[in-house]
Amino acid sequence: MKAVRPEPEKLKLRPGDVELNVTQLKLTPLFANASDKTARRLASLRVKGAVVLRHYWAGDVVCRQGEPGWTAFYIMRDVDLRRVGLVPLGVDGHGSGPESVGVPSVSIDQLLLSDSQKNRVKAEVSIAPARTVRPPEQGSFMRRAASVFVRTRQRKRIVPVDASANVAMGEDGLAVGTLREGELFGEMSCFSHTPRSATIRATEDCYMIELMRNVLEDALENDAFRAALDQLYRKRVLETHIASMPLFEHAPAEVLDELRRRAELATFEPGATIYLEGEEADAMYFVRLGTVRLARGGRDGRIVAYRSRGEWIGATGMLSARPRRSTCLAHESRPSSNDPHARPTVAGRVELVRIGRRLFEDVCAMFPDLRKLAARLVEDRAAHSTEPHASLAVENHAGSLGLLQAEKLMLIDLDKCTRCDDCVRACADTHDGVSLLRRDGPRFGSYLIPGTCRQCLDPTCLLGCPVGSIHRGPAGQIVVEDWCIGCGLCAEQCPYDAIAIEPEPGRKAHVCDQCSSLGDGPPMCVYACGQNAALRVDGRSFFTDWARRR
Amino acid sequence: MRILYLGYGIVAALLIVFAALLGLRKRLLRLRVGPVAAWVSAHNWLGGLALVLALLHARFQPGGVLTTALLALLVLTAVSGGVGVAIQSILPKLMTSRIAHESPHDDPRPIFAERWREVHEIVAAVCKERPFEDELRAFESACGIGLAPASVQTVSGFPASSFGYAALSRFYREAIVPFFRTPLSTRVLLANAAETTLAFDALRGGVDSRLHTDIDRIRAICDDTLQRAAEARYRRAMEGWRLLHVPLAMLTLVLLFVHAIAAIYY
Repeated sequence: MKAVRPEPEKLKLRPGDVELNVTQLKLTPLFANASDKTARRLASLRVKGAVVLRHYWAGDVVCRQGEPGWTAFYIMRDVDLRRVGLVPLGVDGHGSGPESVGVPSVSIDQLLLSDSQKNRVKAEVSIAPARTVRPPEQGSFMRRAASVFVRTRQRKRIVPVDASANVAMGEDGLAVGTLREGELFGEMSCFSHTPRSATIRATEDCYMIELMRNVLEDALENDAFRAALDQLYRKRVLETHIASMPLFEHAPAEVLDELRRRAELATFEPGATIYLEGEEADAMYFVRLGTVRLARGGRDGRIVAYRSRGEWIGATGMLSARPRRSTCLAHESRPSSNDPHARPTVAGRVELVRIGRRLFEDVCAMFPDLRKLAARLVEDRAAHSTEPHASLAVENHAGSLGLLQAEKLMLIDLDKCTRCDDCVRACADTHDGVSLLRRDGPRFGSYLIPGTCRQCLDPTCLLGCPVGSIHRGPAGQIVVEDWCIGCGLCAEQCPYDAIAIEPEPGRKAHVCDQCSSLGDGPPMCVYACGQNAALRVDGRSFFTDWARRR
Repeated sequence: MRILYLGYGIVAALLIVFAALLGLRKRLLRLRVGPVAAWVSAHNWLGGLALVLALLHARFQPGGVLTTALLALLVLTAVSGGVGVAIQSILPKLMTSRIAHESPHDDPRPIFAERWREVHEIVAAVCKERPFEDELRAFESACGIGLAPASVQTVSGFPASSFGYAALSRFYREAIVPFFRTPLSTRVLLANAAETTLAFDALRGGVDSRLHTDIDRIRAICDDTLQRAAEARYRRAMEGWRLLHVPLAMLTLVLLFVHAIAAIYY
């Protein structure tokens, strides 16, 4: 395996940007009141080109959803700007040039914690939904007819984004939130190189510090800054995130407030164990940042699931007072199977919100209905248990084939397939004569798992692209942009050989894009199958049902 | 009543034309005019319905030469289609259960040529002779593949003078070459799995034990080729019924057109 390509070596300066030096950095909230150790580290850190103070005008897009990202952003307050020698931008959006560097002794509390709600809104977070929810009156006849009889309850969906912002998906399919001065966003992309989770647009003229991973890591070592961020998170979004859990959906405000106040924030480095299979389930967790891996049969056992930002783990065990059924680990991307000695690819830290049993008992005392809700939740979980996964593992190598990992797994039902290759031809017709589907691969029961992209929950192909040309598209599909240089890193990192590299000339990676260019509807391979043998399914739900039927 | 029978005929004709559009639909895969599976289903059911309506239109009587021929062709087309549906329902299951590893290639001949070359090189390295070299080269050329490298490492390093050389050489000439010449034939010795086992066991028992590894390699290659041949036979059967069904359908369409013209003008 080739070495993982590093992120760009330095950030490019644009007109109006200011490159910050160590002295100026020490005056920002990122490093204000830092311990001696952090200060020493900062002094020895290579910051040139790794941190830039950027000037954004109202309406400027800071980053776009789906784009690759290697950096995080901190929105500067007026007071922060004065510290580093800049005049804050006025209402007309025009500040003057650099001033002399101000007095360095400024309290972090004054900078961040005075009252973040009073800080001015500086940016807008927006999410483009993968699929717009159409109101019944715009749907098919059957849909309209059904809507007369069935009124589905629209639940407000909280969308977890890479920022301390509340972004709720409205009934109109739009999701917009706000970011204020003194807030940090983009941590997840910075640590894990995941595509940007939302589009951030400046709503006012403002300055933001863009920082690369080495600087961010050191900033987060600063306990004062870390504590300030945690408090901001508690204040702005934790309550909403807790309320997004079905268990607390109907909880009164005082319960949510108690949870927000007493929930613990825990950080884990990649590979760290969060809890072990068989141990007492004394807490449940909400994933605030990063990805965790649930495995059965030890650390290196079969992977049952991945849970990432916005999801809950360990709730069933705690609520049913049973031992943990799986081991939970902070996910680190594994090296390519081709080279067991290769080092793991980039991965980020994991941050969790922990709700311990005692806290849960206390809130149950405040809101007795919570126990009934918990019992119902456990019952419901048992009915839709992932236990059939265990039988899958016994039946075959579902884990090693990555079936439960796939969001849009292509399957060919060999009991129906007439081997006509219409699917392959349709794929080639749609992609300028290049078929991104090979009717070849391992079998699972009577299903063939062809070599094509399955839209993994954990797409390791996205990690480390040197030119950022591979990313998730708006519908979750993997997209390779035209500026791909054909280095083959994504193909090597894909455990399922689903990425093909076009040979010279015009060397480029090709990956199934689920025919997203054709709009709604199934991809052409499925559409062209005359026997209903070609399927695109969600691996987890399909094989859970499959195991249950057997 | 006459109008009713005429109506049956018109509807049957329209259904036949619609059923014939399936071929066009399959060639225009990019068109988003409904999933092909829905078209196939409609083709099957409406094609069957067309036959019933055509029989009603004909009042279950043969009529003149043209109408009798048309009716007969329609019945044959429907029957061949029904056979096709049955084949496409049964054979995939059989194929899945009997062939563990399938090849994604349409044309199996290059695989056969490659396998023959592998066996040929093992035999040549062991026996120090290259029988049927020209024939193999011609076969490779016909399959559109380049010549394989001539040197192959044998495990046994078997001296040509030792016993077993002649047995292997003879087995290659009499059993393996005929098999690779016509891999889809079921009449050659190695086309049958049970007889293959017996033949290789007999060969193994009659040669020096140092040759066993090479013989096992040849056996593995032959087994794989046998699987590819079986797969090709299944695929041929799954596609083959169309060789009857499509011409019959086209002929039916032509006669239907002639019948319609004749009915209008005469």
